[in-house]
Amino acid sequence: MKKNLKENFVAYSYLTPFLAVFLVFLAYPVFYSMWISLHKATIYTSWYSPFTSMKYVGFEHYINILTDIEFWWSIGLTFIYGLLTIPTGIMLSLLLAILLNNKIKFKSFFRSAYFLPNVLDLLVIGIIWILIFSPKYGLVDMVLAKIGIHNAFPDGILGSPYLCLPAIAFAMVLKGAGFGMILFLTAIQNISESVYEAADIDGASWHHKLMYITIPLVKPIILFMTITGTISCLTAFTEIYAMTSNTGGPTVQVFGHTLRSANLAGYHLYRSFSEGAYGKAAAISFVLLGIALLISFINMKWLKSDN
Amino acid sequence: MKKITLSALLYIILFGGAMLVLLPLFWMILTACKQPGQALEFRFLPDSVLESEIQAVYQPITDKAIVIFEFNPNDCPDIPVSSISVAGTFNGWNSSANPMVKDNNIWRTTLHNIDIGNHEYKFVVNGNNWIQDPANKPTTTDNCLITLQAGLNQNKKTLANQTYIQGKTLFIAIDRGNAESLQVKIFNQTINLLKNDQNYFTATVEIPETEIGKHAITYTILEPQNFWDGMKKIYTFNNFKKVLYNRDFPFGQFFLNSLVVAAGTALLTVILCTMAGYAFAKKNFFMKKQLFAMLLSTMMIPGMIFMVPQFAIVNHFNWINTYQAMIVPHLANIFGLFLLKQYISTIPNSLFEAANIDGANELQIFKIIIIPLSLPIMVTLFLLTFVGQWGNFLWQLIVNTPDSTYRTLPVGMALFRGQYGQDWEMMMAGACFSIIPIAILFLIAQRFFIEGMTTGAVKE
Amino acid sequence: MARVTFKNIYKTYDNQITVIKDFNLVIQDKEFLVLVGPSGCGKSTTLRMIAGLEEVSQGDLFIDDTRVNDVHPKDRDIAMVFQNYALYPHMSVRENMGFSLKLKGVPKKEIHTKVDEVAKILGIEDYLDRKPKQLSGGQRQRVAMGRAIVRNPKVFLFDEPLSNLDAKLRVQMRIELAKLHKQLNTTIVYVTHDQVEAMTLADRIVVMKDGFIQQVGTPLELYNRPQNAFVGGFIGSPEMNQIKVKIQQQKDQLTLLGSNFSIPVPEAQKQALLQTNIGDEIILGIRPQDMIPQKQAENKIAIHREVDVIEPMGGESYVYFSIDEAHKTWIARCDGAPQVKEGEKAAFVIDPEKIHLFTPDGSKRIE
Repeated sequence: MKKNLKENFVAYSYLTPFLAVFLVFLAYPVFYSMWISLHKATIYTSWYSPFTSMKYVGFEHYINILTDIEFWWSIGLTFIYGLLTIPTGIMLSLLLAILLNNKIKFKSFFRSAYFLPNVLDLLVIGIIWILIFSPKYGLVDMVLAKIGIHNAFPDGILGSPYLCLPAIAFAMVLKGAGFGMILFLTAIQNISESVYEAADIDGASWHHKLMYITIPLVKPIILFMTITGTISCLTAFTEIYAMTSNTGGPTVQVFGHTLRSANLAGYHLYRSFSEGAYGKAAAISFVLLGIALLISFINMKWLKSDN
Repeated sequence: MKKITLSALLYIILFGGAMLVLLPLFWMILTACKQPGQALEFRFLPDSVLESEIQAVYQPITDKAIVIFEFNPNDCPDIPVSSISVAGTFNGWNSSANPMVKDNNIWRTTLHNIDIGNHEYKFVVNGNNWIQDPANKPTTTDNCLITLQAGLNQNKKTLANQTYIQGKTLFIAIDRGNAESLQVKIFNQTINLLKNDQNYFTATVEIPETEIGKHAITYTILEPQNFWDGMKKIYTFNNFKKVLYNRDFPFGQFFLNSLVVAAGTALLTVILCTMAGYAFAKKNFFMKKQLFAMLLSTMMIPGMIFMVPQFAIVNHFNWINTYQAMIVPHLANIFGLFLLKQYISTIPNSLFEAANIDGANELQIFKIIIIPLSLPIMVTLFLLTFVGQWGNFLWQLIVNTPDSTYRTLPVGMALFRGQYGQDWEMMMAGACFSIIPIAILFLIAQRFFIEGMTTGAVKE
Repeated sequence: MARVTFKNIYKTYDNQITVIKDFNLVIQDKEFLVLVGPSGCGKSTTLRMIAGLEEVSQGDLFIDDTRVNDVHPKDRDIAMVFQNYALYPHMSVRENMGFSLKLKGVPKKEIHTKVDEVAKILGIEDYLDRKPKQLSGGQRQRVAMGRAIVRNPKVFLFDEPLSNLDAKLRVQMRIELAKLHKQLNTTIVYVTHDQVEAMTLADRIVVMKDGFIQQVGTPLELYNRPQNAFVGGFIGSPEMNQIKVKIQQQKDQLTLLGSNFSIPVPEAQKQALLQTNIGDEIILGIRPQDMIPQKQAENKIAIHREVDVIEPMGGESYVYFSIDEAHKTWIARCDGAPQVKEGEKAAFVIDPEKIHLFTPDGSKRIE
């Protein structure tokens, strides 16, 4: 018992600095946010003292959000964005990993090249993509002009309501592919060579091997990427901020409402936040958290059901 | 044979993919190195032949002529010239109708479609000083006199592009003093020009029947261009210099602040996560599993939730405009804790037991086992945090007032973008400064990085 | 001078699973004691309790006359060699070996000479500046032992030290370990699951199963007089043949009756057997060495069976046959090539003096 006490003491000594920061800057803010989400600022005060006059409003923010077409629009867009990025991201990463798993030269070069974009700043990458996608003088338009298609996107790709979100998704998939590739590559390299040799002897073709050996054995990675992908879609902000120049994309008319075509949930949250609607922003955060937990739960059930 | 084709295809796909993935990076560097105005041109290598703008010669319509006026300031050294124009009967003595343009210290203007016959004229210096043409002093009247004939350059000035038409013949004469050779593209053919004793490139071209009667004949001058001269016209490093030595944009200060914030956060995060990760991986303590599950579940929460309360706390601590405001709130990195815990779990227990028997105390165990053995993951976490904080725009923006000396590079970039938003070359030069350090850091330490990342995530 | 004493020791994990039950043992000074048993029998836990890496849940543990239940490992004056060697990967061999002395504050010069001395004994002088990664398995093993020897401890603890080596190296290291024990002349506690290692190295062997001591004794005692069916089966290679037989009485002659064979009980065991019930089933054990396959029995006591498989090993041969209808396989051993052939009937001649008898549940030897 004495030893137990001592071990507890030692362990908590190691934990203390971490837990201290955690409690002050992560745990406390969560509860604080809950409180804020039930309140409303009655008068606008300065940015440096935002909570001087808060009025309790109960679940008003939550009710407002759930009946707000703009919110559901952003959730729908986020869903589309997720469909655009997560499966393509996983497939592209897996494809790259399988290609790189061959005996090839310059393997480390390719690995670095694909991984490098991951460490680069989203904000800056976003600005570069704006330049690439911009009308008339952007790389895409110039290349199209070279092959005879002039003025293909008069408003620019990012200015077109239908192309804006897919273009952002395209840029983000390219940026993130290398990370998934590394995860898949490690998992594939952990598969024993003899399993594939056995499959060869059993007469399996390459797609059999892919379907029946590789994919089942990298399933944990697929699960991991799906969950992290879901979370990053729900919190996607910087890429929208950077690539739509803080507008949320070109406008579209839906049932008489003017909506932004790249107004993802995370960005929607930021807008409420930057407009000073802290209560609403906090409430949106918790709704998003609920959705994230739900989706992660379904993902885990679904992908683990086979095992 | 099939195998070679397949492997060639593999390389092509991989290489093409790599280029596509790195496209933003390449495009950024390329744009940053371009001359002002060149960013939006689809040109990467200089043309071997420099094609001039389209030149036009007007065919003589029976009663019209071309005349070129020239003024050499050396002829009248006593008059300081800041602008000069020509006025005469052909433009109704309008002193502002035909300003002259200075070229190689000679003021010139070419007038087309002047009625043939006799004309009087004077030069107007600095808008109100009427003088006579020093090269064509009048003999009888106060005004200078010229007589114009159809199509001809009547006053025979030696001009840069002294090209004219007489009858059905085009006389080309171009002044390009330092050029080796020149060509002219005209009537769908390219003609080599000859250099005459006055260093003019000349040619005589018969105007084909189909072209006669048209108002103007157009041609372009082709000048061979030296590769490096051409490169210099497209590329420059000046953008980087302009970014570095910008008065409104104390780049060095921003860079230094970013370095302090990113490195400080990364270092402290690694220390905290390693300590906590060690406890979770190798120690037994009260509520261990519940605590870890709770910590992990906070990873699901959108980061925006924390921002307002964190800001309120930082404000409460009076940390606005300080380094610690940008460092401390990010130190409890749950993902980092997870990585470290996973990695330290793989260190065999017997090593700790051996150290225990050898008589090492906790501090020594930390020093001789944890630090050397989890170095790869520590480096990884350092880099991850460094990269994350290097680009953490929003938080660094809100905890600094606009006049703060602690503003960091991303904040500065936003400022810069506001100022030079249309100046793509400058923008990209700034972007290079904010991205290249990270890219280099990554390339140096990527071995650790990849190893560390995968041990943590795959073993989940 | 170091004696390790276990008094009524229990080890329980999480207040639920008891892995060591009422463990009593005295390990004598300078003794080479081997703890042997199948995996999960608690032998490693026992060793780790001596080291102080596991807490003693109940009972008293003494090294010499000091109760060490609450003494820190470093203060117990023991040294341990781990199965995976547990060398500090970033330290050179020299640093690894001298680390514990360094922590004790021994002067550098002294450490240096001490390490040199030990390295010479183990024949690793040439590797002192290498890192563990650059060494082969056998060399690492030696460094791990060297690290223990340098401390000059009262008790050496070995936790399956040879199990990561290949067969040939294992034999070589086994011999060196035996030599080393003579040279060092200290107490060694050695854990293994390999009964050959136990037999060749030990002064005394402790056979364990399910947290209980099955038998303690010298290798020959264990081999010749196993106290229960488990020890009989565990010690000796190939394994002892065992089968259930019935006791029959014909006049004053007791016979062990199996399916299709019967063996008269020798005088020595008669007395003991008479006390059990006639007609009961007991366990009969015969070591393969004590059964010689011949073409004819020639009036000797024998079991007649068809030979299934013969494994010629060169100097000796193993003959496999089915002892009963359920095809329970027995093994007989003979020197050189056997007289019999596969598929033929053979007589397996038995020396009744060398049979082992155990109670029906196998828990006790009958004699």
